[in-house]
Amino acid sequence: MSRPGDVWLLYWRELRSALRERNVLLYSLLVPALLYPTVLWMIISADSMVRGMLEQSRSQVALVGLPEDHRVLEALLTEDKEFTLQTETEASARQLLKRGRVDAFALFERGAHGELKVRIYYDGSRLHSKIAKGRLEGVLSRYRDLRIEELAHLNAVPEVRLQRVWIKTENQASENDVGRLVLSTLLPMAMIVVMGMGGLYPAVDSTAGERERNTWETMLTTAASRDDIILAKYLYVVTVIAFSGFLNLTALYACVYAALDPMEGITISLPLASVPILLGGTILLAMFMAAGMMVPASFARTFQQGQSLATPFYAVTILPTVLVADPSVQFKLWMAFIPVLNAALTFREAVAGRLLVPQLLVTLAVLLVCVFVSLWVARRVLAYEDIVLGTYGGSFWTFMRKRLWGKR
Amino acid sequence: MSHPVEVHELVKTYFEQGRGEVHAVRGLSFHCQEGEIFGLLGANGAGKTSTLRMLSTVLTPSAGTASVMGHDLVKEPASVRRSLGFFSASTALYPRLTPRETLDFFARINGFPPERVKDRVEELVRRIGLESYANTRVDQLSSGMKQKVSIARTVAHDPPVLIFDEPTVGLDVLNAIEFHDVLREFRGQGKAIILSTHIMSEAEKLCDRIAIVHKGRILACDTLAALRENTGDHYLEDIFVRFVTAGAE
Repeated sequence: MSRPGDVWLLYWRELRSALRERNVLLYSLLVPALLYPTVLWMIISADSMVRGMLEQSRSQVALVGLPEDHRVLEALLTEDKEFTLQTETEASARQLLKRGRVDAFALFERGAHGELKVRIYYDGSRLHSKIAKGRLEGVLSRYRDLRIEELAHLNAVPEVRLQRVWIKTENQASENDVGRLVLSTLLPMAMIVVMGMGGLYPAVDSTAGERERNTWETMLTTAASRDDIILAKYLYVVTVIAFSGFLNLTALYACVYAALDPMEGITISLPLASVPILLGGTILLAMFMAAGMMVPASFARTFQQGQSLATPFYAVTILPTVLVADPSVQFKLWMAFIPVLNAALTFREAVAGRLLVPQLLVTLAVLLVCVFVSLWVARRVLAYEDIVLGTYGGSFWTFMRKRLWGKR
Repeated sequence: MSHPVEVHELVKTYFEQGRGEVHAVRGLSFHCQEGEIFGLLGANGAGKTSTLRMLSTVLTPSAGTASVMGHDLVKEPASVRRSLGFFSASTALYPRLTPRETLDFFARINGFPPERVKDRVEELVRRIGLESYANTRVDQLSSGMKQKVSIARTVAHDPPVLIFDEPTVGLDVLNAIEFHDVLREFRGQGKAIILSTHIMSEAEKLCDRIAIVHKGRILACDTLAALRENTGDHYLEDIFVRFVTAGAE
């Protein structure tokens, strides 16, 4: 029979040891808390640096065959500090572009009705060339507008008679919607990656690590029951993973808020209703991940073996996050039956302020069933003496096939 | 009258890949009294560790019965474990706890009355001379210190039965001698002690009775004096070889 006092003692011992272990502190506490500030700072710094460099740089542009009556365009380009101009023939301009000596060139031709046709040649594999192309397009549109205005003036007609199509774009999303899109794209992936990373070390250390250090048998000879020992270890790993998740959630929110909220057109805020879903989901996901990592790791005799047995589970849990990062993927009911994918999508929908009750209930049921099955497997596994003592010679899969499912 | 430890026809058979069915223990019977050091003497693979692991309920017997302080191994494993302290090379200490925390934890988890735990811990810290290291992490202690903490851990809950499996393996002479003194002290306190060893001199010096174990069977079990008388050999090593050779034939 389980004794809560024993479970608490064992749990507290695990936690106390873990908090003195450098790797647990690093992967379960420091990484979740500091990863995002560091990464965001690096991204923002790198972005500012690149932008600064590009803004300062001038585009080397060649003009080919610019007609005399369009010299205003040349003046516009010359006045613009973003360009360094040179006049070339088409053949030489092509050569120069190929060699990277010019960033782009504009080829001017007369149309059948005397209109000016411009072709911009650039190298799509070079950033500077793409920038030059964008800059050229901007100046040419400006020039076209000027010419239409001039024509309208000369012919004494309103400009709208000549410019028949006007294009205007308007963003219908609220500032909150934009913010939530950013959060819902980043958060599920970040949560699962960081929670898995935070849980891997304690899951392996509390199983294979114990065996390697010869403390496992010490524990088995205490008066605590085997079930209580397993339960305490499991609760400890769940605690560490959940704590990594909470830290990560807070750090991510704080970072995104600090970096994006001051910007125009975006407000970073979490819907209040999403908070319990995020917290509950984190605990549930931690329960699932802890069980999923501890069961294979309990077969290992050394920490290294444990790591190689638990890592595939971690890798598999990360896969669905790629799908979740795509905002066009909708949370269909069938997806709620796939563990981890369901949790990640639940996170995403909660952050976006959407509450999909059937999906939420199925996710809850599926994850709980997975947790109970994993714990049942763990109990069955540790009922075998050779597994307990680390003398089992087969692999995890051989064990599952031969002993758990009884196939030989 | 029942003894603190009673073992009757204990058997352990298990399956090992590559070796097939292994008969580690084949019907062992013995008992250990209060204030006695009972030695299990045998070469590596004789079945000593399997026997002791069964007594500490880490392994389940395939057949036979055994009890510790009247508690059946199979029916009351938790009570059995509460009544004994188990020490072996494979029962290491938690490296990230301090000796004081270690003793506190093992006393509590083994059911020592909570209100007396603090005093018990301090008493043990004093007894093993660890006052200045009591709050240092175990992984920062010398191997001699660790050995002392391990012994203290074994008796933290003051169990009436102590099991030591090859306790002096890897110890230097001085630490081994110190350990022998501790064992005698426990005997003086009336504890029933089972000592497994393959070191003849250790068994000669410490054990009140010795069981010679070979291939999972007890070939002889008596006091050293009686074994000498029965065989006519003086040294335990000769006695051991005589029984093992006869057993092999």
